[in-house]
Parts: sequence; C-alpha cells; structure tokens
Amino acid sequence: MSEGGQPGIGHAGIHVRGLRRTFGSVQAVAGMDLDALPGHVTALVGPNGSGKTTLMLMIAGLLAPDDGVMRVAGFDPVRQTAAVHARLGWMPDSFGAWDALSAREHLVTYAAAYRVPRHLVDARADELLQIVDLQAWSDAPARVLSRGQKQRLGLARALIHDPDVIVLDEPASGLDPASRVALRHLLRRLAGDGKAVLISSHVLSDLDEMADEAVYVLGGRTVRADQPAGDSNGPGLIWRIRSLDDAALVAALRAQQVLSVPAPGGVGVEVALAGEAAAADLLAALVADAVPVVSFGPAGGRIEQTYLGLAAARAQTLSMTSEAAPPGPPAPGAVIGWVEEQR
Amino acid sequence: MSAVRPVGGGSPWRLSPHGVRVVAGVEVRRLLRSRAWLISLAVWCVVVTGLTVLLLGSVGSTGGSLSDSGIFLFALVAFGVLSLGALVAPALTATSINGERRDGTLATWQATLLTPAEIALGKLTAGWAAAIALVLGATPSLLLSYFAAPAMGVGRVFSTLGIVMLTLLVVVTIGLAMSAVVVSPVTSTVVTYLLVVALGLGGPMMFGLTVALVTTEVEVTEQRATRFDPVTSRPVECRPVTSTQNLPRTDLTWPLLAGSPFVILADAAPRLASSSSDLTTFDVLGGLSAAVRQARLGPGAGYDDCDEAAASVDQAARDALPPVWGWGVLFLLALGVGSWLLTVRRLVVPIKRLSRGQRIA
Repeated sequence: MSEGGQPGIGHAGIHVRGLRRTFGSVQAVAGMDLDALPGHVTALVGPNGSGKTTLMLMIAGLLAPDDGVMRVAGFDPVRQTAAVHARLGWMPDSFGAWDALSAREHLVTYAAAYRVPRHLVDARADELLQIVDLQAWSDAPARVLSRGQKQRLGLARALIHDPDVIVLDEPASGLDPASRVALRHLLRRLAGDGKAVLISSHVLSDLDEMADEAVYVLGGRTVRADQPAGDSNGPGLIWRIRSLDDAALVAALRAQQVLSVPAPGGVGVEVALAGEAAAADLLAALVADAVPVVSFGPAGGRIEQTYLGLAAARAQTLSMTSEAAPPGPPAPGAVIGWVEEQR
Repeated sequence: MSAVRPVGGGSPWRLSPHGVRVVAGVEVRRLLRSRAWLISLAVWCVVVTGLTVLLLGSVGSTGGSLSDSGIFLFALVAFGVLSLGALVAPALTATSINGERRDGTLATWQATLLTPAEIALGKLTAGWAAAIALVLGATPSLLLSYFAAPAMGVGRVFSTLGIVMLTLLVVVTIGLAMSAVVVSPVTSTVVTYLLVVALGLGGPMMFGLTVALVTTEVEVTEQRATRFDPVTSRPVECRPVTSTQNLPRTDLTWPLLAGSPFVILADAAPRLASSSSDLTTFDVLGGLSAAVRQARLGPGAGYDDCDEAAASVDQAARDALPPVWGWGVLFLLALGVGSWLLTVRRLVVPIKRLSRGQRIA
C-alpha cells in the first residue's frame, strides 16, 4: 500500500502508514504500517525496545510523530487530539495510581475527566469494577492494591468512557493466570461488540488464543502482518514431538538426520525444522518407521513461531551485515536473550 | 453511553469549571489524606504562633513597653511569616507535575478530555488552597502582635495578610511551572527555592551592588539656610544653591527593590494612625517604605533646610512620596501569569520535543 494512501483510511479502527519518530539520535520508530480493524483483536509483537510503546503513545495522541499518517476512529491524533481521546481507551504499560484514592474514586474521576454524563458514572464504575473483579477492593486506597490489581484498575480506567478503539500496552504483565483468561474473554467480547483492539504482550500463547491478526515489530519497523491461525506457509522453527517410546523416536530422528534436544520439562523432544512442509514430511517418516507418536506440533503457538522465525532471520541478516547495521535495531544478542526468556 | 464527543482538536487553552474541579478534587483529596501534609500544617501553626508568643513575652519580661515595641514586633512577625511561608510553599507544588510523570499518572490525565489549561489550573487551585491554609495558620500571630500595639491601626494586619497571600500564591505557581519544566523532582524543588530566594533577596542585593555603577555626577539644587533663628537656631531663610555631586541614580535601579515581597509588604502597610514620633522610631515597615520611595525619586530632589518635612525621613515625607507597592504587585502577578502559561505549554499533547530523560508514561 502506498504511503499515506487513501484506501483503508476510512475505517473506524487504527490506521497507520509510514510512521516515524526519533528521540535524539535514536530512531525509535523507523517506519511502521498497521491496521487494527473494528471487530478484531490485533496483536503487536516484538522484543523490548522495538518501538511498540512509542507507537502506542503516538496512536494515543500523546506523542507527535516526525512523519507518517495516522487515523484513530477516523480522526488524526495530531490535529484532532480531543476527538481521538474521546474515542480511544489507552492503557499504559505501567498504570500509575494515586495512592490515596480508592479504585472507585479513580474510575469516577476519570469518568468525569472524559465527560461521561454524571447519571451514568456510578453504574459504569460498578460495571467495570465487576468486569475486572475488583468489587471487593473498590473502596480500599490504591496503595494496598497489588501490581496485578492495579493493572486491572488500569484496564477498567481505559474502558470507562466506552471507547471505540482500545490500545493496551502489555495489559497481561503482573496478572495471575485466572485474570489473564478473564482478560482474553473480555477482549474477545469487546471485539465482538465491534471495537478495534490493539494489544501488545509478551505472553504469546495468550495472543494466539485471542488475536485475529498479528503485527510483528523489529527495530522500529513493522516487518510482517498476518493471521495467526490462517495461512500455512509461514516459517516454522521449533516443533515438539512426544512419543510412547522416546528411544525409538530419537533413533528414528537420527535416521532422518534431524537433530533433536530434550524438550523443556523432560517430556518429549524438540527439533528445528525449515517449515510446515518439512514438519509434515518428518511426521510421515516417523509414522512410516512405526514410532508411536502421540503428539507432534509447534512448540509454542503460531505467533511465537512466526516471531522467532523473524527474529532469527533478522539476527542472521544483522550478523552478515554487522558493519552496515543501522543504529536502531536490537543487537542479535538481545533477540536471543528474549528467546531464552520465553522458553 | 451517550457522552457528547468532540470531533475537533480542542484548544489546549480551553478552561471549564468542570475540568478544573475534577483535577483540583483529586489534588485536594490527596492533600487531605496525606498525613505528612496535615502534620506539617499543624507544626507550622504551632511554630509560628509559638515564636510570636515568645517574642511578645520576651519584650514584656524585659520591662519594655509593649505598645511602643509592638510596632517593631509586628514588622518582625510579618517578615517572619512571609519568610517562613515562602520556605514552605514551594513544597506544595514543586514536584507536582514531574512527580506525576514519574508515577505514571500524568499521561493518563493527558489522555482524557481535560485540557492542559484545566490540569494546570486544577493543580494550582489545590496548591493555592494549601497556601491559604498556611496564611490562615499564621493569622493568630499577626493578630496577637497587633493587639500588643493597637495604636498602629488594624489596616496593617489586612495589608500584611494580603501581601503574604499573594506572595505565597505566586511562589506556588512558580513551583508548579518548575515541576512542569524540569524533569527531576529534586532539581525542580531546588530550582524553585533558588527562585524564591532570588525573588525576595536577589533584587535588593542587585540594587546594593549596582549603586557604584549608577553613581554619576548629578546637578543638584538645594535650599541652603542663610539665616538662623537666634533662639531656636532653626533656619528661617533659605536660598537655592546649585552644585554638582556624585550621587547614585537610584531612580534607575529602584525596580530592583520594588519586586521584593518584603518591600511590597512594607510599602503596602498603611501609615500609622498616630503620628507620634515615639511610634515612628520603631516603625520598621514605614522606614523601609520611605527609603524605597526616596530611592525611586533619585538624587534630583535636593534638601530644603527650611522644610523639615522634606529634610527628614519621617512620616510626612513618606506620605508625600508616591507608593511603589503597586508596581511590585503587578510584577508578582506577571510572574504568576507567566508561570501558569509556561505550565500549560509544557502540558500540551501530543508532545513534539521531549526533554532528556523525560518520560511520557
């Protein structure tokens, strides 16, 4: 799509083309394109420092881009900031709360700040406290809330004015497993109500379950956008195989000249494969060898696979052209560190 | 929900009572629930009132006359309240905005429909309310020292309260501006204190240091006595004598004095109700006021030996000179308005240029 192109600009979600922003000499966002459509949950995936938060700040009308086109709910965050603020729910990566005020007071205050009609405020605050499961804590001062509870309060705050577009910067960090499941259901429901949801997270398995689309960000650029559950020619990377007879499995893999390592947790093995076609071939070969395979699938979800593939390709490119590498993108080591953190 | 949703950009300068109330409501609640602030306020009241009682008691126990020295004591208490207030007031706002940036609560404000002007004014309203609480806490002291010398007139209590309040409001506004401009809360607090010291003492110090620079040869015409009364030896006949003298042109540098809250407080104090010279010898406020007013006139007006009133710095002479405190008040108001405008500008989103180390969220 051409830079600043008109097609697609009219939709009521988030539309970004050719976005750039530097901080001093650091190119934090070096060219991002993104469409988060109404009714969809769009995942934003990338390593730390890849520009996700900067992108979200620009979408939220808090930071001005150096260059590029943005539309949020049809409005320009730079020139029509108030219009965007009225329709956008933004949750920062670390939600700050006023220690002395209760959860309910936070919500009522933000409702007033968004000019929610007064007669609706109390019901809306009650509804949101229930949605994020904070009713029991609604009158306690925020200083006694745990990190996860504050995250939930931040989520409720972002939704207080019933926004059309929802931008969440790592909402799952600090959440317990039950809250993460609740978050997934909530975001699916919001998308079902026709809202455009953009979410960044490092919990890729969560994103796999809730995202309709994924946008991958590396070194300040969007490198790829796809449907997590859709097309089948994406690069696979690590596959996990479990068998009733581990010895037979390892022997068969060796016969196929496929390197295997014990899977984390000690159940089964993991292998690196070139893609889904190679995976299908390998599975057929194993079955033909009468290896009792009980499970054969990508280690981690589709988004994780794609992401790791992109990161690895990126690291390879960088190491080949290390002298000419631009200053912005993360060093290969940073990507590898991230990979280890995930596994 | 059926909230009215804007479609335009919205001016950052738009001010609505609603928006200001929302911001001030949060700030005031935070203050009222802050144990540290309530304790500070209590300590402030006890310290200021206690010092005043001790001062009054010390004069009484040394056998001095309260009604004479009361006028001096009142000046002491007034300057004390002004100084202590200016020391406490920066703490009310000097970390208000960068502190919220650090805590991550500012950006969520800025992402709402509140305008920068509303955020700045709401925070100021809360800071001002706290400053006014300080002034109210100091009121018993001023009243106590007034009752020690009621002869000076109650007008001085009101003028002092007014100037102290204005000064503290301006200090609070400067503190808020610094918290918006400077990234680190520690630095903004230090900068605010330096500015407050410069405001109170910087001008007078500059005035003193520039005396030598502005001293030039001035032609002065003075009325010199030519004949004296043989009995009283007072001059009875004068004639003009023109001479060239080296005198400081303080008529050029007097604005350096006029901006200091101490000078404003002294000059705004109404003249003493009684013109008894017993009282005027203790009148620090009146003396300072007369000195500043004469500095403003500069060396052009020479002595007149035949006119006692003009020859001495006394009550009548002071009354004859035009007051300077109006200029001082204007200067303080300009500082306050300028600080607020600066604060609003630094709160405008989307941010184009980010200071080093500044976080948005």
